[in-house]
Amino acid sequence: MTPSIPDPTIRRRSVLTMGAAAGLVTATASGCSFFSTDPDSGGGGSEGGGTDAMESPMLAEKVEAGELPPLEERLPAEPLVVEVAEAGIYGGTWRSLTLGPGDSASPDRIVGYEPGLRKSPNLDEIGPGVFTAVEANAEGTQYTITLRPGMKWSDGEPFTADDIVFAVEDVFGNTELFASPPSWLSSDGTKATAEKVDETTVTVTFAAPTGRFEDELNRNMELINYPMHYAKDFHPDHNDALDAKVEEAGMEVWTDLWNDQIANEGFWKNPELPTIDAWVVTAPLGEGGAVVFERNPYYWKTDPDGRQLPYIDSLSFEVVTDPEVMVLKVTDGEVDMMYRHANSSANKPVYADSLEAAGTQILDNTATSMNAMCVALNLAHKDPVKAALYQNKDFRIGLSHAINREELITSVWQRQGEPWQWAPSADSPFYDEEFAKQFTEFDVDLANQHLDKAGITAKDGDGMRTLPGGGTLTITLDVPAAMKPEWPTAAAMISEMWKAVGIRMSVNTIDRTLFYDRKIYSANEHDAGVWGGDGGLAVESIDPRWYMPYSDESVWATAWARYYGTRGAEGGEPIAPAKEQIELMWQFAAEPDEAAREEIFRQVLAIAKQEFWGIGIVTEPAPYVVAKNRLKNLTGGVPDTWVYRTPAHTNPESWFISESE
Amino acid sequence: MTTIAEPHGAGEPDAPTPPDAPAVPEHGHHSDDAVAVASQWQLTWWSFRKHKLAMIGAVVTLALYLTVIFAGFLAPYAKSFYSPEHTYAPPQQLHVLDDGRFGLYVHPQTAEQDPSTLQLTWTVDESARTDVGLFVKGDEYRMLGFLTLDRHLIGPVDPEGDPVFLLGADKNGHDILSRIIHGSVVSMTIGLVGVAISLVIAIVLGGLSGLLGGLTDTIIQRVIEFLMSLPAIPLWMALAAAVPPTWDPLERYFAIILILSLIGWTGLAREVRGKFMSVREEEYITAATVDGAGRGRLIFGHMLPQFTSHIIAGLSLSIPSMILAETSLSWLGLGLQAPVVSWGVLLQEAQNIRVITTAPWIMIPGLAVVVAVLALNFFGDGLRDAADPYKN
Amino acid sequence: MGRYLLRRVLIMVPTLFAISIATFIIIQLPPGDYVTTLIAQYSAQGDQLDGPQIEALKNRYGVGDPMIVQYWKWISAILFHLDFGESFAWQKPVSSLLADRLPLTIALSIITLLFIWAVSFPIGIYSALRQYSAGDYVFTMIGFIGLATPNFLIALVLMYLGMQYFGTGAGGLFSPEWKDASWNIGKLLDLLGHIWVPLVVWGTAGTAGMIRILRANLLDEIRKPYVTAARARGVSETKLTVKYPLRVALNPFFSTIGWVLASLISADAIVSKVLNLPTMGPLLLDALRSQDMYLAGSIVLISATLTVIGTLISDLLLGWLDPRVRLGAR
Repeated sequence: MTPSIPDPTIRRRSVLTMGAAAGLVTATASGCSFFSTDPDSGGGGSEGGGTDAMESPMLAEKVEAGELPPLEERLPAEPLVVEVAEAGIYGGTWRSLTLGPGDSASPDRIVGYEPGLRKSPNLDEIGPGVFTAVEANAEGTQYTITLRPGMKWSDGEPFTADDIVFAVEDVFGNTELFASPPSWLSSDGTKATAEKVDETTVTVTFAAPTGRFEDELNRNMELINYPMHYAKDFHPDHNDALDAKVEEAGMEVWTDLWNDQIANEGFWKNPELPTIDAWVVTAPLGEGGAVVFERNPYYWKTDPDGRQLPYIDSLSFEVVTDPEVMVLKVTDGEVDMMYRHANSSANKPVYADSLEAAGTQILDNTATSMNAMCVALNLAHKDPVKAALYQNKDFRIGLSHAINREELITSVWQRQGEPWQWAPSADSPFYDEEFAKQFTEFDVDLANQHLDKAGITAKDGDGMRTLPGGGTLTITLDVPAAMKPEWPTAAAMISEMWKAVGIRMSVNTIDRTLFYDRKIYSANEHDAGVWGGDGGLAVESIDPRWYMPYSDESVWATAWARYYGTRGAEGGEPIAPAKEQIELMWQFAAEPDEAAREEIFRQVLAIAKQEFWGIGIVTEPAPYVVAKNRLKNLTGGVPDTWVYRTPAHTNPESWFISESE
Repeated sequence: MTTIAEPHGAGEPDAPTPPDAPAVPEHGHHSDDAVAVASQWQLTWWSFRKHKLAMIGAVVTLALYLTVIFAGFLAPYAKSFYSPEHTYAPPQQLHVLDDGRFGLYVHPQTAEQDPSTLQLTWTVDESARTDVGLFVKGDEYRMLGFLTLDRHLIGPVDPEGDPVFLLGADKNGHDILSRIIHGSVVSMTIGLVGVAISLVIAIVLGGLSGLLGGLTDTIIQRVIEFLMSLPAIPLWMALAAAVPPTWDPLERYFAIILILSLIGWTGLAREVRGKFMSVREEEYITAATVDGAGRGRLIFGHMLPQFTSHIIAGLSLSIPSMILAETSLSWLGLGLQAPVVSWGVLLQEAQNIRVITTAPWIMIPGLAVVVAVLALNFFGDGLRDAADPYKN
Repeated sequence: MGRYLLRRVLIMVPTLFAISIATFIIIQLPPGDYVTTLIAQYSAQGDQLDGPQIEALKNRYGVGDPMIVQYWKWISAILFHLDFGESFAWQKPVSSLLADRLPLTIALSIITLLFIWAVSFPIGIYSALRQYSAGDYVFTMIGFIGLATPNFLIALVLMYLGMQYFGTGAGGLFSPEWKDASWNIGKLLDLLGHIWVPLVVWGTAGTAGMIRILRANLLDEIRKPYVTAARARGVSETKLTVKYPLRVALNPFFSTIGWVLASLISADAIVSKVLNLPTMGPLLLDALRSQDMYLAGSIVLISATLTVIGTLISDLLLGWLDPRVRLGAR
């Protein structure tokens, strides 16, 4: 039975309050809390503190009570100063959402960007982060890192060179944790070594020159993840009683316990783990409906007035299971910031409609992906006939001309974007218009010409082109399901477009894990696949998977990427231009000089342009963030990338909540 | 025999056993004498005819299956037709009078997109007309598998001109009306084929169980219980995920049907078993056995005809469950997917806030599901009520 | 009665064993495993895992072992230690995850069942006694429509309507400010304000079925000779209906208790996911999707076991109620 429908103009809360208050005044007066109609869980945090307070009132209270050392002792001698648009008010709880229990990426994108060297919000400049300075010797084999004197972990223990050495030697050097050392910490396959010079200076030494390390420091948080004073208890080299500890926790091996409590997911699951992030987890995943973080009293940054950051007291991530529920919550005004899972182009009008009612605003950012849909033929196909055909540039050109991108843009991508190939974005320093637009004109005759030139002129009874030597030619396009809604639809339309030039294509929509299983070099079973075009802006040389065979993510040649990754040991011989690129990238990894690196990368791009490895469709739609008006000091218009944990690189510690909006 | 409610188990998603259509007095107005000499089928028919809702159900069901056969003709556009400029277009009102004379037309509409919010605002151009005709030329299609025709019942007079979207368009500019009609082909036949397979399995196993009794019965009963206790969703997911990805949509379609029917036969089998058990003790069976009739003749010649109508009724009540199951599966992303068009696939695209708030017409396929399920239920109920004309 | 019970219980054992094997196979059937799910997840957000990391993950989650070994590890842990393993995704013991959600799932199931009974009982009787009346037709139609519409669609639409017109927050059972608050009347009222959506969604389908069964049974009984005889003897109409036929017609209510046990866990996963209800359903759905083996397997196993037990209880109740069933009459 549905309850009677109240007057829609009266918000439910007021109905409840009126009704309850009317009947239960006496009960409330008698002090019985059950009859109260007020929630006792707060929005959390103390309010106000004006703009004169140097630290959060919440912390000031603790200092008064003797539970915390005073501010000067908590901050390092030289805190990192963060520029803020407006001096903030301390207090408040910032509310957002995560999608399911595995979504550590959502909080990671807020608290998780604390690298050694820090990139500016626009990702165009590099400045000090945890480290105040990093100096390389001339050969690029030794790096001297300077830390901040007086900087402390979230539990008050000092952050020293010991922590870095511990990370390099005991963590990355431990073969049970890392069967082989991470590539960014190795050169020529051997791990670098770290040595403590003094409390605040460390040297990291590589066997051979590497250009990668310094570059890596502006996006690598691994080096700074391991508080020695806490983690050593979980490490066999430092704790003889480790076995007992592991058994007590109900695990079998110490690495399990390590991964659970320290590494990877520790940051949002283990409240005891000391960190240097602005907020520390207090209510981990799985208990209650939200993951809660609270301010780090020893956070080492201040605003220009010397007031300790962050302004916001706590973060609350409610766990939600359906993206549509996220949409509803945002339009209901319950969410302070929504920045992933529910920010598709299709949803934008829904948010736009509710801006006033929900008290929100939309901030547009820039996509760092250069393509919304990369259609990749498997050039390293197991079948030599198909491999030869796919490797034929005319074949790919013909297929590209047969696609009516304007129609796809209008019908599938909300009329947003322009036709684009696998090329750096317009805002990228590597942007090349010809590279981006080549072969994007929709021209059926031209398409047929190129397909004819590719040698597949023979047609079967249905008018479809056949393989050289007879045999049906069908391209099976693997499309991962449940990722981008546009992909299956666009793939179906492309199938029709290719049919018109005599090419049979069957759309194979499969589960994401299956997609992965088929394309990795060890399987290499796929015919063709679809994925998003990472690496268009800000991260071009960091993730060049579409420009050269880089990793299992290079759907168009996972086998050749293996050749790159194993220095030629596995993967089979790539064709000459790809091999040239691979050799160039090996050089790139060992080149410390910034200018030289850029030059090498440009050469790689030039080959990619010449070879036209695969077919792109349209530029990636601009991602956006929906934020409540009460949230201040936000920065929009920045590139959005996982590499820098957007929006974490826009200084969330400088955000504050102003109720007077 | 007291009716025991079946527990929810494997095979049926959220679709519990359907409610009864209200019953009607038996045999209507025929005289007692006529009733006495009428054949079983005649009695069934008379009984059924009185059942108003069942008649409506029958008519609608027939109409639905006719739609399936004539889908190409009835739909204004082909399955894959889309108009890129008309994404999320609202339904167009069909005008019948053109300056006093009979003339079908709609007003064309165009959209303006706000560059920052991406909102689409539609304006109808009242001054212009897009003529709509009956029996117009349009996309080619195949009828009954071998005829290639291009006439459509209703559609734009100029196929190259502005489109006519009587029920609006979806997020890619496909015509909702056409897709509902094309979708009926898949959704309605999945029900038929799936149920047919279920039926065969159910009759064989249920029959063996009921006839032979004893150990065979116990084993088959346990198997049924085992299958029914496996939760539906995991079973579907696993089976659907195990379908090889290289199969094309058609093969996938049949695989899904097979999966659904392999799970759905249990309920029917139990009924068949029950019926066999009650019938085998009847005197005429004993008589036939004594007479020397073999097993096969017993089953097919004497017993089956007894409850054919019950079986038919059971079938028509299973079809809606299949339709709902396909809808749920496709909605979960496990059943059929684009580019196959089924009601389940259409509903999957309707399942978001954007549609509900700005383009609710995309949910109309839901209405088609409701109508089909209702019609089949009424039809089946009427059949079941009428199935045993000798009841009273 | 005792022998009947014993027989049924004994047969349950091999059934349950078969169920455990089937469950395990079902979980493992889809290609890939939890590690590939993780990798795909990382890949989707632009992250990359290299070879050594993947090896480490494989070791950690034990997905490299042969099937038999994995099955044995799992089933022996359950049988001997009542240890259902740990969920990969939640990184918590399965039993604690279930314990978190079980109370709510049970509560919702019971409330829904009560709702269904409360609504279908009077309507069913009314429909049976006042056959062909306008009321009969109307109620039947409503029941049908509720039954015929796919649940997930109703759920989303209702949730949206609830938000627009009634001010109830989106999904879930509580508004954000009440979520972690302690129980008081305010929280109760907030709960009521949210709970009507899932009740309506689940209730309509179940109610329709129940009405039909009750009605059909009652109609069958009323036509029986003993009722006519009683009427001839001068027993009042009400007594006629209530004393005997009604009791018989109540059979299905008892058999649905078995249903409650079974649906406790897999109950309408789809709708719970859409409405963001913290029940078992969405937990299962996500576990299956990501091949979170121990979580998915345990939930399925428990659910199947409860179904079997539920059927047993139903049969026992019916046997106690109706001797004909017990004695195997046809």
